[in-house]
Amino acid sequence: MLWAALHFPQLPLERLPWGRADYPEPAAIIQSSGAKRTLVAVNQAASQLGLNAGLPLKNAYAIAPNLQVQEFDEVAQAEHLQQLALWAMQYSSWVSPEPPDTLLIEAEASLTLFGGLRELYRRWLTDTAKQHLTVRIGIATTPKAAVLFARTGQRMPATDAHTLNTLLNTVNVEHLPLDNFVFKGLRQSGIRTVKQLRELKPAALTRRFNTAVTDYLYKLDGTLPDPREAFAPSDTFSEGVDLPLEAPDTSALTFPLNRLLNALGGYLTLNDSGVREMALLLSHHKVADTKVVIGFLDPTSNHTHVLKTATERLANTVLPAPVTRLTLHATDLAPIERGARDLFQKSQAQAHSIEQVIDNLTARLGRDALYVALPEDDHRPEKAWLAEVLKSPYQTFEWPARPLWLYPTPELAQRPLTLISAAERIENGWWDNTDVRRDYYIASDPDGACYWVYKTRNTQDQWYIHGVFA
Amino acid sequence: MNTVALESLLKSQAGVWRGGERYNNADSVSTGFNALDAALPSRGWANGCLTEFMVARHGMGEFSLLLPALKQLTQQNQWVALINPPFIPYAPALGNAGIKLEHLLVVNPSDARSTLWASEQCLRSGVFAAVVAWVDRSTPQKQRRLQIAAETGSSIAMVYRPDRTRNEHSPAALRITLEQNPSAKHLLLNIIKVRNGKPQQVELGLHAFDQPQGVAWPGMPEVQPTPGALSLHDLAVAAVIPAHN
Repeated sequence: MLWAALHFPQLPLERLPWGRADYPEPAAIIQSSGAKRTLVAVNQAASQLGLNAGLPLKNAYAIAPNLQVQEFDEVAQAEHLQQLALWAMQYSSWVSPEPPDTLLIEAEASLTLFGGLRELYRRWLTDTAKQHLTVRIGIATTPKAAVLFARTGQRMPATDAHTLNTLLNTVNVEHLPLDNFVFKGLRQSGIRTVKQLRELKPAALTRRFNTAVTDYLYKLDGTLPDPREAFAPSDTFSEGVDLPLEAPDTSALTFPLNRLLNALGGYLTLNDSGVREMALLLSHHKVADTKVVIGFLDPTSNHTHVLKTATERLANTVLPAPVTRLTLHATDLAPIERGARDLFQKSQAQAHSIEQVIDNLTARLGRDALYVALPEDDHRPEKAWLAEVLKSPYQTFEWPARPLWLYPTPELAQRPLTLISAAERIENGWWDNTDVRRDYYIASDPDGACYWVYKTRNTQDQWYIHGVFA
Repeated sequence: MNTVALESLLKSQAGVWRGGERYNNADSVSTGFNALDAALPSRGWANGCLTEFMVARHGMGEFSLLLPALKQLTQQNQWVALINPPFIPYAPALGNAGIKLEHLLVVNPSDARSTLWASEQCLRSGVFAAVVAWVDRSTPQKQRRLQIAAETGSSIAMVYRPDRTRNEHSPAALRITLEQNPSAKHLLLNIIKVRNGKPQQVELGLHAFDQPQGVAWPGMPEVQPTPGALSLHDLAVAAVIPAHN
């Protein structure tokens, strides 16, 4: 197995527009513990001023009085990481988020599809750059080593056990995710590198630091298995982004929207489907949510197309108040056809089947709106018309002249009509209480339109129109 | 150069043959009327084209006009959809016309919007060889969508519209107003717009009630003397030939 760890060191900042490299103002994310507030991430403008993570906020303000700060939001970051996991599903079906800021992707199964590790690596870099994300990628045969390499910036892929061991030996023990108690003990023993650590007897290590350290080391080099659960996306796609900097107008929504669509893109690729309808829910303070429903004629998974359509729709949306949260629900997903297309095929039409079309129509129009008209072997006009959806082939009958259009209920004739045929008596049905005894004629009105008219035996002077010869 | 400009340049060059146009040279389905076929450059109802019929009223053979083509298509086991027909399509009459009813889907949307939507869906799907829709309210933009949908699905789109729309602009490839020649009981087709062709008039001897809805009228004498301009009220008194089936 080959694991790739995608580590996003600037993730707390990069969920805000501040995180973009071209953002001119210094900005930082802070974390409070008690009264002490410390910077945890700074943007490029701030780092150029000399600010860095770990600096107390007081000192940072002394250097950059115009520093913009935002409290670290663990929940929002977990949400972001999950969306990144959805995005990563397009590269591998085995993605495992490693909170707070790292994704693990099982890459071995995807190597052939994407044309090798180098190509896969390149795609991750360009894809994350498009999302304005800073990424460090570590590749190793065990998940723990991949994460370690990503966090220490070791870019050489450890694709076999030998390379893995060589690379691991050079790592400083300070980088290992161990307790402070362990670090202290290691420092006191003069142990600086993983190599030195691994040369110790495991039994001695366990005695001193309990099993956590030995376990970690064994999982690091693959001696112990380190099973990872694959991230399982839910059956429906519904993801949201909190906007700590409230969006005053819809143009400010493009940035978070892009993030959601990236997640959607991964989700769609995974399911081999496209989105046919999606709803954007814009939440406001104290005002009811604004809902924007976007439909597509053909299911699509084209990021640019969806983004463009959604941005256009948003541009035409009037906001009652600034937006505090943007949620994307994919309400209608449909399988999409990829790949081979006939060289000469001009039409973009998808090969639908009649069942698909009927499903599609029924979904919107209701079941009663569709039918296949089949005559029953019964002479009475009302019974001969039978609404039956998709029945098996029927027996053909020869009927006397019948109009193409039948009135749902016969209407009393209002205009003078001229009879142009002899009568046809239709007389049966007494056995099921719908006694019909009528003389039918073809008649034309003064304009020349032809109708199917009748009179009953009981009402000799009343003529009813029952159909039109169209 | 962008693709749109390139497309239009290629289209303006008569000498350029393109592989993609193989399907564009619309194959068509004969209308079943020689006079009408001759008047249409496609020699029939063309695939991927929108045809509009402007009709003043019902009952003059406006739908019978399509029956030969629909018969031919359904007999080849191709699907035909009737969308928003003004009345109930009466199965015995359709059956008499030779239409395979199990290949005729009737759709009754509840409003004008859904009618256009359903028509577009059916046309685009490529499943239906022909889609006949009765559209009361539309706009050139919406008709254009139908035209594009017909091209996409390479299906025959036939739309019945009210007579008042005959002077409206429309992107349809073929527009025909239908009138009845009251004296001769003939159907007058006024082709007011036809792509690659000349507008002209065609008169079809199409009696709404005998072609092809009437197979035989039981009890009808060999030669039926038209009962003059006899009004129904007279007829109530006048003896009518009693008939039996």
